[in-house]
Amino acid sequence: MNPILTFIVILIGFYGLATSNNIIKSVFSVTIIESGVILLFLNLGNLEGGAIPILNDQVSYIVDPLPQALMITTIVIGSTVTALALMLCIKIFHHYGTVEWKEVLGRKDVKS
Amino acid sequence: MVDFFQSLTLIEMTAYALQALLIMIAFAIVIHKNNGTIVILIASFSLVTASLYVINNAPDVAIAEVAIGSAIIPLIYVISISRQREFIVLDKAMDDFIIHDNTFTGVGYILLKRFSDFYHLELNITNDPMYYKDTVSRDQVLTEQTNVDLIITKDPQKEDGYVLKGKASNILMSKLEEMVKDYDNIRLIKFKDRDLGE
Amino acid sequence: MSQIPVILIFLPVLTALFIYLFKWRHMHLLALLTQTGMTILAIVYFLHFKDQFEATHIILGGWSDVRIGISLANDGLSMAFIFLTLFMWWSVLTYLYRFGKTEHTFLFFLMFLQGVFLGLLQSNDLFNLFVFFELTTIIVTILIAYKKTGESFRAAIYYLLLNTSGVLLFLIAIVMLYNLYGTINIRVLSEVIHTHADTTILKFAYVLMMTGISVKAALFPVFTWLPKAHGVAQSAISALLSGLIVKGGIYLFFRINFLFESAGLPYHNIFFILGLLTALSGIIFALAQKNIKLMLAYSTVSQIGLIIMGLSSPDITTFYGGVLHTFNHALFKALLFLGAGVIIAVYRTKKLDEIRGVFRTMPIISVMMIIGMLAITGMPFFNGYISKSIIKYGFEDSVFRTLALYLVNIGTTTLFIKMSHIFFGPKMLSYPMKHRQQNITLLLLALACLVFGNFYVEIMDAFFGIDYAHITRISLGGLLDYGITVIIGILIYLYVLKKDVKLVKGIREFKISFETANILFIALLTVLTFYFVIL
Repeated sequence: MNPILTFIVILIGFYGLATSNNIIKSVFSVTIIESGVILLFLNLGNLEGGAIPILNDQVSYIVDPLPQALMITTIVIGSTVTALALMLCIKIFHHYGTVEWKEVLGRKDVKS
Repeated sequence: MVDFFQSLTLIEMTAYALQALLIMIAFAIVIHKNNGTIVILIASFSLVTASLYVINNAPDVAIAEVAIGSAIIPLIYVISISRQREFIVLDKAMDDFIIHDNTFTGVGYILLKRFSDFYHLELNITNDPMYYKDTVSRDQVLTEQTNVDLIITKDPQKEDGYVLKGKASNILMSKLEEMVKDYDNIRLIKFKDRDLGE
Repeated sequence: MSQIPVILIFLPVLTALFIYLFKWRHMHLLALLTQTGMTILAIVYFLHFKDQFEATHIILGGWSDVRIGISLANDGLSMAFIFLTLFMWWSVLTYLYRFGKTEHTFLFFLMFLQGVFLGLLQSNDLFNLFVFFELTTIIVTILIAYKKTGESFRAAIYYLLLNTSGVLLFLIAIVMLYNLYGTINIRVLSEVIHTHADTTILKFAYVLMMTGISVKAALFPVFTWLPKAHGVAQSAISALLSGLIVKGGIYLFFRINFLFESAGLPYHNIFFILGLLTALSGIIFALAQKNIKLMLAYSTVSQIGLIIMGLSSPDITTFYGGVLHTFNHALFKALLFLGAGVIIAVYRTKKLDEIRGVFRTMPIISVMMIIGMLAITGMPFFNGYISKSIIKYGFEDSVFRTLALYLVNIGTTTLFIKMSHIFFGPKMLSYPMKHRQQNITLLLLALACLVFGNFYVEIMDAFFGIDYAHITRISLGGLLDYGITVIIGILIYLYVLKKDVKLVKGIREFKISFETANILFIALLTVLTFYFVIL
């Protein structure tokens, strides 16, 4: 398993962020980047020939458990960010009638 | 190159194949324009990454990823999108503009149906007494604080005329304005965003 | 006693929950009470540990090895920032106090943000830092969107997406550092980082961390979220954001630089240039605006550029000049934003052309605002002069740097001369009732500006052990400098800005779309990679 292939996933996520034309695609591009980073960390923490880090008296050589603990936290934070962003999308749709970036940012909002 | 492929164990081959699949799904997500397709691709992306986590000896992270990425995120998306595609109209005129002869054939109904079909919105005409509560009965406040998009009232200046009111920041209103130009008994009012300082 | 950092983090969060669950009318007093308790605890903690900051290292969870487990630690810089945080929250809570009415949800988020921010300042562990970083992003997004107008939603989502992608770069850097060193404890890492000092992975990790931090600290070219967010939020929230939360990014900037110090990376020149570009672009955009809050927000960007110019110098005295300017800027920017909030609430408009006659309508508030404007432009006797002189003193050797500093100062002065036109004019006939507590807040902040302008020697010595006795408080040279800057500012204003030339209008309407912001973000990453890894 190659870390380079995971880097390609992260780069595709950044490409999606830079070329997305509506808000929902940007939100999901951030999700892709985040899943890629988690995969990278777990891959680097996986030692050759190690066992799953769950308590078992017969095994003595386990893979590194620290990345796994940190990454569960990261997944939860990522889901919170996605949920918050989607909720803001609903509100933006109610105000502007569209979720395209150009329309939403370009309008001078008719009073200023 | 062939030696490389022959020296892999079964698990390593699966890992490489899954990673290649992951790259293809990620690329497809970035390219597609239809939001519904993107969400289904996200659910499958999440599933493939969960399998990769298991191959990397991290089953607890895989459980968390499946629960969140494949189940909860598409659920939130479906709820939020189904709220978005509705176009809510409040009918305060209560005469045969919408309902004519007990069926939906009034002039206003045909216009709104044409509009919402053209823009792929779901038309929802309501008369719910919830919108008539004292605190929110002024029309501008209704459009700001509830999720009503359009209000139909009778025109006080013209006999047999109707006024359609909505938010000016909503681009659907400008598109509706174009359609309404052909009808001379229907007028459109757009409420500008008020910002009370502070 | 040694567990006080943990109490400082969790006490505001518990208060926030309490306020949200029990919706009593006088709950605001409970918030003020908690604030008093936290101030007392912080003062006691500081006096106890003043000379032995190594002993403040706490490992949560009872692990015996210092390389595993979440850890919190404090030193002079973080204690100073903690006091600044407590003071800022005091100001905002007093400003928002209305007798007998409490907005429960708003106070919930506000107090939660305080707990999370104090956690950010005290964490000694890179992953803990990441978690608190993301939490501040989420809560600040909710607070920006709290007004529920269309523009606040779009500012909130722009802020959320840009900052989250920056923080994810920070996470990739943490992954790389863990892979190289096996630990993510900041104190341990700063001792062992020289062992792999010249590898590409280490330099790339540094570049990723710095890019993530420059999104949060609003450096050029990724500062575009700041005017949008600070211009549309409520005034109290704008004051807090401009005064403190961007300073969280600056705090991380020098923490990470301390972490990588023994690796010997040559960051001084490039961050000086980035700071200079930030300062200049901030002031150019600010001069073209017609909306008071946008002018103040762009001025925040340019002052951050000035702070980074100070923090990136290798000389320790100039470095602490940058730190002092951070505190000073928090004080006078909060003063200006809160004063502007009162003015906007009374006049019901944000446009500069429509507000006239503030001095006759509200004399006390005008005096406070004038003090704030004098402080930010660097008049001797106020605090802006002290920090700007320290930075100027550090740049004495290089003509280019001194010239750049003068340019930024002239720009700031012109901006505030343009803004001072709100004071002239006739008195407004009727206005809503004033709230006394807002006057008290503004008075407190103005007094703090005066105190920092005069007693800086004692303050800097007590916290950091730096001697500033060679910077004089008022000198003829200083007054002359200030006078010349003001005159040049007036000339520029009268001949260039009064007529709204096409160029100025073009700058005002210049918008950067979200895709362009991301492309600039990736461009920054590429430039920094090129500079550090390849050169």
